[in-house]
Formats: sequence, C-alpha cells, structure tokens
Amino acid sequence: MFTNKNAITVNGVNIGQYLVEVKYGFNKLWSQDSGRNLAGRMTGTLIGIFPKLTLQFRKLTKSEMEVIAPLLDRESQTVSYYDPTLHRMNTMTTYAGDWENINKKIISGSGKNEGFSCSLIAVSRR
Amino acid sequence: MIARTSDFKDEISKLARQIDFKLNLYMNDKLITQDGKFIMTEANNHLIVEQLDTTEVDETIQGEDVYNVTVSNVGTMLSTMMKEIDFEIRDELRIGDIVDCNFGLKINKYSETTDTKYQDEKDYYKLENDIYVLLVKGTDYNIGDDIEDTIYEFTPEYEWINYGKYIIHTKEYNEDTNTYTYVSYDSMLLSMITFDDRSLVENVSVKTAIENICNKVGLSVNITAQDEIDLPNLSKIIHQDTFKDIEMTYRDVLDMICQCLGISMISNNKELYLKRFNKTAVDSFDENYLKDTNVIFGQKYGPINSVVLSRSEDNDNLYRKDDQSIALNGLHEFKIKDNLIMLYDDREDYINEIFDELHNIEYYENDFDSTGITYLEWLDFYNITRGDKTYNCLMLNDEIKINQGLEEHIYTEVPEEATTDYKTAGKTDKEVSFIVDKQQGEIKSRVSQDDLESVVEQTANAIGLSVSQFEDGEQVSGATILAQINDDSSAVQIDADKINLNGVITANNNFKILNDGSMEAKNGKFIDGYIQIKSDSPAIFLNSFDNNYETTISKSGYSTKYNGNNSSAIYINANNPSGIGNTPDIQLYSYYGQTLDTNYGCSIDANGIGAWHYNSDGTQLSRSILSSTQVRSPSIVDESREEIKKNFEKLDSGLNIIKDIDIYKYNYIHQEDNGKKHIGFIIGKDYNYSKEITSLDENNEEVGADLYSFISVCCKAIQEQQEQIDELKQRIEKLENDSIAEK
Repeated sequence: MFTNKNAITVNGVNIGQYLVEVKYGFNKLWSQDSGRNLAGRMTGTLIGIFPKLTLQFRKLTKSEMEVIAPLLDRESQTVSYYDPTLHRMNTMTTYAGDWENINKKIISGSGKNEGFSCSLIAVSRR
Repeated sequence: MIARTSDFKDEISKLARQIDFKLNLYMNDKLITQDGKFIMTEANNHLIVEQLDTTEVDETIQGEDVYNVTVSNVGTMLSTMMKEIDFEIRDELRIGDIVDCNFGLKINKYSETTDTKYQDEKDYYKLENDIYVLLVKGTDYNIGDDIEDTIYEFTPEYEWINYGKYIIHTKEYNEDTNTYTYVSYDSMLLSMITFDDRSLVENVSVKTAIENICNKVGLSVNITAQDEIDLPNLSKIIHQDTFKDIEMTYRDVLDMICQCLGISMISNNKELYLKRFNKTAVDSFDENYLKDTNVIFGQKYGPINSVVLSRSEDNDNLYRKDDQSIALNGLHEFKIKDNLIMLYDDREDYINEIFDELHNIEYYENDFDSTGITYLEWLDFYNITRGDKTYNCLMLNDEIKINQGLEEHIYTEVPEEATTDYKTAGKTDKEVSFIVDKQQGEIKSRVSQDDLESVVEQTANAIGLSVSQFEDGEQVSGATILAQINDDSSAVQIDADKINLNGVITANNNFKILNDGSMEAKNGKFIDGYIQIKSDSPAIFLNSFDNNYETTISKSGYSTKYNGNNSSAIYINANNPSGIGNTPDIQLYSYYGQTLDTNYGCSIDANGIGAWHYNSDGTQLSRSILSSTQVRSPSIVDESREEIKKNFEKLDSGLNIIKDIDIYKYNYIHQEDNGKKHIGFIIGKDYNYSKEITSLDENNEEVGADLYSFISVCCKAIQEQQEQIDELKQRIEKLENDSIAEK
C-alpha cells in the first residue's frame, strides 16, 4: 500500500511515530437486498466502503501510553489518513476496537509495555 | 417516465450500486393544529400553499440520517392519484412541514482527470462496454495501434430523481430507535377539503370547473389549447344541482371529472396535471430488473373494446363498443358507475371521448418485486421481457422501499370486469332512460317512440306521470298530459278523460272492488243492492256537508239530529222507550233538553192512538184515546172562534129542526146484542132525522151526527121553549089574576 504511516493522525495527534505497522482495510458493506436477480446475476446495493485501519503499536513508554490510551478509549476518533483511491488525505470518524497491552513492570512503572494492536473503523462510508 | 440518463438506467440494475435519499425541509410554523393533529382546512391550505412556494431550504437530511423511505404511487384508472412518501429520521418535524424528496443513485461518470500530467495532452474516448481509453491529443491513431493505457477514470456522482414536495401529514415516534416515522403526501392533499361551493363546478364547463377547483384549493393547472382539442369533453357544461346535498371533498369532484374526460390526474409541487393514457411503452426491462422471488404475471386485460356508463347499479346502461375487436379478442368492458356529472340524459355526449381514450388499452395483470427501477411514473406503459415472452404492463401501483438497499414492489390488478346485458342497454338515452338521482332524491324514467314520450317522475312527496306528443321537437299543446297524479300532500288526484281499473282493486286491504261488480268494505258490504253493516258495527252515520244534520241508522233504530241537539231529533228504536214494534207499536216521547221525558208521550197501536201525561210519581194525570169505536178524553173542544168562521146566519128555530127527529136506542153492529145501548137519531131513509145536524164525509154523504150543531140546535130549541114557557107563565099569571079579580 502506497501509504505513509506517518501521515496518520488521530484527533490531531500524529501517531505514526508509535506505529510499527498499519493495515489498511477497505471493507464493503452490502445491503440486505443483495442477491441474484431473475437472470441469475448478482445484484444489490453497496451500502458503502468503510475503511478500517489496524494499527500495530510498538512498545510504548508510560508517557507515550498516556498519549495513546485516551485516544483509543474515546467513543469516537477523527482520523486522517492518505487514501489511495481518493488520491488525497481523507478524514473519517471512527470507533476503536478492543485493545489490550501487556505491561510486565507495572509495579515499578519503569520500562516499556509490549507492543499491541487496535483497529479504527469508520462509522460512515467513505 | 421520469427522464433519466442512460448511465442511471445502467447503474440501477448493477451490482454494487450506491443509493442515497435526500430530504430538503421547509419548516412551517404557522399551521393550525387541533389536539396536535393537522386538519385539512381552507386556512391550512393557504398556509401550505405559501410554504410550497418557499425556495429557501431550512435543513437537509440525507445519507445515513435517513433510515427508511417508502415511496408509494397507488391508484386506479380514471381518478386522481395522491403520491405518498413515508420516511424515518431522527429529527422531529411538525405536521404540515414541507419536505422535498430526492432519490439519488451514484453514477460513475467519466470526467477529466485531475492529474496535471495528462492535461492538454491526453483525451478520453469511450469504447464499448464502458471502457475508456487514454489517448494522446493530436496523435493520429490507426486500427491496431497500441494505446498508452486503459483508464477507468470514474468520478462518483449522484444522479438525483426529484419526487417533488410533500406535506407531512402524520408522524409517529419510535421509542425503540429514537426516531420518527412520517407520512407525507403530495399537493393533491390540498384538494381533500370539504366541497362547499357548488357554484365553482355547476353551470360551468368541465374545464372551468377544474380551474375553479384548483384556484379554490391552491393548486395551479395549465389546460392548453391542445388539451381542449384532444379532450372535447372539457367544454361540456356541468348541470345545475349536480352536486346538491352531497358530502364530499374537492378531490372527489376531480375524480368524477377524470371519468368524464377518460383521463387521470396527478399533482407535482403545486401543479395539477391532466394525465392521458400514452399507450406506447416508455421502456422495456428484462430479468435483470426482477428479483428471483414473487414474480407473477397473470391474465391479460383488454384490449378495452366497450365502455359502459351505468346509472342506478346495473340498470339503464349506455355503451360504446367495438364489435370487431370484441369478435377478435372477446369482450373487455370498462364500466363507469353512477358518475354524478354523467347522470343526465346528455351523458351520451360524453361517452365517445371516454371510449376514444380507453379504446385498445391492454396490459397484463402483474405483481412482482423489482431490484429497483425507480423512474417509472404512474400510468406509464412499459414492457417486461422474460425469455421470448414480453408482457406489456401498466404502472398503477408502485411501492419503492429505500433503506440501506432498494426494493420496488410493482403490481397492477385487472379491473373487475363487468358484463353488461347489452339487450337492455342502449347506444343512446333518446329512446329509453332511467335516472336514479340520489342527490336530488328523484327517480325519473322516460320512454319515447316516434313523436310520443312518457315520463314517470318520483320524488318523496309526489309521483308524476305524463304522456306527451311532439311535433318537430316541440310539445304539442292540447294533447299533452294524459294522466297525472299531483304532488298535493293533502290528496291524490288523477286527471284523465277515462280511468280503467282492471281486476280486483284493493285499497288498504280493507276495501275491494271485485270482478263480479260487488264492492266490499272491511266493516260492511254493498252487494246485490243491499247495504250491510258488520254485525258488530254500531251504525251507519250520515252527515250533511255542513255537519249540521246527522242521521244514524243502526240495527236497532234510526235517529236524526240537528246540530247535535237531541231536542230536535227524531228517534225510532226497536226497543223501549221508543220505536216501532209490538209493545207498544209506536211510542213517541219528547226530549227535554238532552233528556228523554217519558212523562209525556203518545202511542199508536192496534187499539188506536193514545196520549198521556204522567206525574213524576207515576200516577196518571190525564189520558186521551182515539180508537176505532170511540174518542175518549178529559175534554173535547170544538173550535168556535170567530176568526176561523165565516158566513154567519142566525138560526130562526131549533124546535122546527128537532121536533120531527125520532130518537132511538140502539147497539152498534160491532157490539154484542146485549151490549150497552147508545141513544141517538138514525141517518137513513126510513128514519126521521134532520140534515141540519148531520156530518158529511169527503163524498158529501151523511155519515154521522154533527154533535156541536146538534147541541146548538137543542140550545136554540130550549130557548124557544123557554120563551113559550115564559109566555105561558104570563098567561097563567094573568088568568089567575083575572080570576081573583073576578072573585
């Protein structure tokens, strides 16, 4: 994908520096009217393409985590990313999937947690 | 059909089409509501019309904010059709708000690329199957040349179908989804106010009636000169009182006008359109537009080859038909029932145009779900092709459901085909017509032949019959009405030179005139010259015209009164105390006021005539009897007053009359021989009597003694004898005195 992970901002925060990988998903959602017509040909209404960014975070420090976690825990996010179909930066409203991380030194509070992933899914069609 | 681009038509049936629905809202905060409900009143109409003119959109709702939409175009032939759109959104709107409804389909249109490197250098050309190729401008390409690239440069863009402005009529709040569902109608809703001004549509042409109604309800209509040529019934005049005393809306009147013109009507925004049948298919659709379930094509309807105007149910039909088509295709009849405008005898002036409009219409009954066509309009003819079979269809009912997807349910039913009895129907009303005018409360039937016409008119208070004769269309005077029952509620009058009633005639089932000429009444009979009253009937009463005299004949007697006063009455009764019978034969009493006075009376019986006077205690005070043998009374008086007598003449001598009379003792013949003898003279040639004291009968025959004369003669005789006695007494006294003197 000809995209730049450093171009991704969530609620105005450029999160590219925290990522090791981004998976761009462009999922099609079909209406219930979809099916075969009398001629046997598939037909139906495409409700839309709902972009889904699966973010793979690197190991984060406590202070970095304190930046990222509030973004992911909000009920919705405003996400900007480069859309290769639109040939431009696209801004969308998303909701975040479940996310979890592993912190093996939680008592001392020092060091970094393990890397983790989280999905941001567009609430509206592109 | 709504004009659409070929891209739209292609895209609507494709996989992965993308749709949208957009609502432009025009808020209306002036409307009058009652208990939160919107009412179609004239005042509200004006407010809605104002709002329909508004161009400034208050708010637009579309995309994911529109949850469900149903667009319904449901109607029948020859009527108005009111379009309905139901939609569900989260926003709360008011009843009466105006919403402009738009359906959008995303079209991937070719457009200039935005990549600057191609600008002014390249150009796109469309090949078959929507493939676009990028070519270098100015290059002369030949067949077989390589091209630089194949470009699918599609620019997404929605193509919109505008369904027009709708008026929100009702709303519901959906508690579970926190949304509102609205029902909205197009501007035909404006015509659904109470029809309250007959002057708008009576005594005016059909065209003017349409214009007046539109002006009244806030719609506009543009009837062109071409319309007037194509629809000649527009110039027909609607009769006075056509809509008298009926309750309906202006839309109902428009429905009837639709039937008169053989057309239908729809509205869009504020405009009313006269919609004629365009019998040519506007488009064709194959199986790609049909879902794989619920696809039904039924019997073929038509071609319509007969139009019937029916009055009063199935009676009195007027028709136009195409016999050739009927022979070829069978009878397919379209019947219009009880249209008030075409209730009159000029309805045959309408039927030709209606027939022309409907003639040869044919379509298949259908009921199918489509993947979505969306741009067919109501009354469009279109074709559906499946395999080798093509079904020509008429769009009458269309329901488009739009949510995340799109489904369209189209169905058209075949009208209930009626079969008119053409033997009793006619091509004209000129010979026979039968009108049931429910609005006027009148039934009128008319039959005419040659120059004669009979009419029966029935209303709630009268039945009128008339037979008339015409010459050159003019009623001939003097030979017109042959019979009539008038409308005077106080009496029924039949005017005719001769009335013939045949058969047994019954009145109220109580009075009959029988075939044998006798007449029966429930309470008596007049038969064979007798009048019989029923056995339990009290009497026959005879009254004078002025009710002063009243005569009662009952089975027991007879009475006549004057002014109801018993004192001036005559009673003859078989029973006591008065009557004619055996005991006594006749008794007559007097009335004292209203009370029968039996103290005075007289009787006639076999013994003679009697008169009596009784005291109130029953003792007899006096009695007179006149029998065959005697007259007996306390006194018998011979009238002797001067004023009843004449030719007076003093009697000279009574003795001369009586001196020769022989007085006998005798019995009457009816007496027994030993009966008490009477004394008197005897009238007979062998007896001495005087004619001066006899009585004569009507034949001047002497039959008896004139007792008053006889007594008067005796009185005279006594006077004479007294003179003689006095004279003799004087002579005796003189002689005695002379004798004494001599002594």
